[in-house]
Amino acid sequence: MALTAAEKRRNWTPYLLLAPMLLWLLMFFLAPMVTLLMGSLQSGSFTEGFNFTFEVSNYVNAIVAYWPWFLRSIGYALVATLCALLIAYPLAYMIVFKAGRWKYILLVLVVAPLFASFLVRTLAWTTILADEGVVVGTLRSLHILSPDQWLLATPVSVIAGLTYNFLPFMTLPIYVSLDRIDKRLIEAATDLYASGFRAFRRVTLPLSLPGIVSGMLLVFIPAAGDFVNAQLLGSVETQMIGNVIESQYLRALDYPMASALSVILIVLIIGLVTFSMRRSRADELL
Amino acid sequence: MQFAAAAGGATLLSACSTKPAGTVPGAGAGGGSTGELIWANWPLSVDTEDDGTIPSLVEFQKRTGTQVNYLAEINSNDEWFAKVQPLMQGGQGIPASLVSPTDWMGGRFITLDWAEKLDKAKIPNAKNLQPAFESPAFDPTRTYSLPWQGWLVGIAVNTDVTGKDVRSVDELLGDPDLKGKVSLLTELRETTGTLMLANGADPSNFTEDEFNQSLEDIEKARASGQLRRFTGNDYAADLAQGNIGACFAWAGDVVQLAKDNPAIKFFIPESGAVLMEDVMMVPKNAQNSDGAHELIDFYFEPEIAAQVAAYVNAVCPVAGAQDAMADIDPELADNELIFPDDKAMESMYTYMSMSIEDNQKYQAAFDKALGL
Repeated sequence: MALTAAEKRRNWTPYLLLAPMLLWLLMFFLAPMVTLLMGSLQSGSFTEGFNFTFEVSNYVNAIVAYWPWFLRSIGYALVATLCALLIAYPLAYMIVFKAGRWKYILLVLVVAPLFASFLVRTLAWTTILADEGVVVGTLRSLHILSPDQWLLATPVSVIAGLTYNFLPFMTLPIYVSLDRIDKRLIEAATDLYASGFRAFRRVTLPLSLPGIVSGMLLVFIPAAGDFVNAQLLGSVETQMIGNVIESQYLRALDYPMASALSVILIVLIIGLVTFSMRRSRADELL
Repeated sequence: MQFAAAAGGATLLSACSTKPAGTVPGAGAGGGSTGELIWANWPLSVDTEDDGTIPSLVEFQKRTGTQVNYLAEINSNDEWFAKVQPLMQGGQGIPASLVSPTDWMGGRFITLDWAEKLDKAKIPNAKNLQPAFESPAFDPTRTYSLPWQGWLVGIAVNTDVTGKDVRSVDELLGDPDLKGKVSLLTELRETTGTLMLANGADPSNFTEDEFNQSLEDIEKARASGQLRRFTGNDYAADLAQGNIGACFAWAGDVVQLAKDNPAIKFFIPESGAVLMEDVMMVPKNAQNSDGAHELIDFYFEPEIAAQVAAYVNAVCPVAGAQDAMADIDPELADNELIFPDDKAMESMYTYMSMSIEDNQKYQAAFDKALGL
């Protein structure tokens, strides 16, 4: 049975509508990914040129040489994610339930740091955590730090930088899920003799889980691949995998190694995220 | 070298600094010619007013009619290389007709046959070249390059923190009073060169063992806790805030820091100092090679060189600029970090020119010492 012209056109319409999106994905996601993957399987040198030889040993070498850096990056990113959660949840909770007419001003304040450059924000922490600064001074007078201890160039300052820089990405999703909660549900819980804490634990917290999960993803993923905080706030002992990739790509000109490290990082992050989401059933929440 | 915020952070910086900085507004007094010229250089490595205008380039346009676009696109040599490499290798050339990376990157351009030979007949002022800059390792006959600014590497000290001067590398890495208050530079040549000099080796001609010895020095300082971190030019903030007491630094930066804080001093290490330079070089297939030659010649006029030196405070490679500086700022004219005397010049060494393979090998070893 022959299709009418109108029917033919209708068959094509969805694809035409999808085309810009598909093209976008092709150009900015698939093409770089394929290039990266191909690059990671090359052999050769910068001067003699790199050739695609399906060099799987790049991956073995990358893991053998750099597994401690992967471990450190994942560790720092996890701690930063938890710290961000501990700060962001009460903050978002306060904005939604307690701020009243200040709500939108506070929201703007959460986002405001993003208007300054990432570098400037990170460099600002060298002033906040300076040896002669307020934070270190206070910790020293409380004898938490001895006079010959400091925070800059330690894991503490790197994790503080990561936490701070990605904090808005934790706060906003949690804010959104808290804000969406039907307040009558909480009232109902308290009407049924739940204490404030119990109402929070049984009603508010479960309903805000989607926000927590998105927030954790939005913080953990960029934090694991970050290199700026380790560079500006860290030391030789706190270099992250992002710093290694940068050094391999720009300074050692070992493009296959840099590509292999990047692919491993991507796979590792996707793997960890998928595993933990399945484990916690979090994927059903989103 | 304005290693803006260290190698690491610089990716982000460069990402937002590709727009032309400091384009000279139409001065047009020269009439006639309407040539245009793009000059790839470091941020703020030229005399710049608060509003972004560059007086020396305004003057150049007045004289020649050529409008120069000062493109502050070099934040790190390695990143800039990654950016221009596909274009240069593809043979189509880059937009810039004059480029000013650091000497060793200039050397890489020469090795890769990416640099045009300079036509000295078009640069009569090249006769003003300071003798100390006449024969650097990367371009011994100055066939391809002339220096833009010289960068002396030495020890910067915040005496408020240290309570004393630090004049030698041995003190810097060995004095227990400085424990955890010392930083070195993330740059291969600056750091290993200065360390090799302290070990009695010559950075302009060294063996692999001598190089490895310098890495062992780093390892030792790292293990003993003497060394806090490695920095790009973000050491300036660390030093000013007192997080660092003494560190390897570029003289030009420290001259500027010392203006704000007299406690900050610069010492040429007793064992000698590494002298780096940013070059002026014309890349192959440049769109305005003639204009580039004219601009090089212009900056080798002592008066113009002094005008730049008064702002940049780096080592001035132009003879006669010191006299011209006396009219601009007599104090700077006496500053031996901008105009080193012959004796100081004798303690300055350039760094050995290396093949790309050797550079990769040494860079990889150095990066290991940096914890990478």
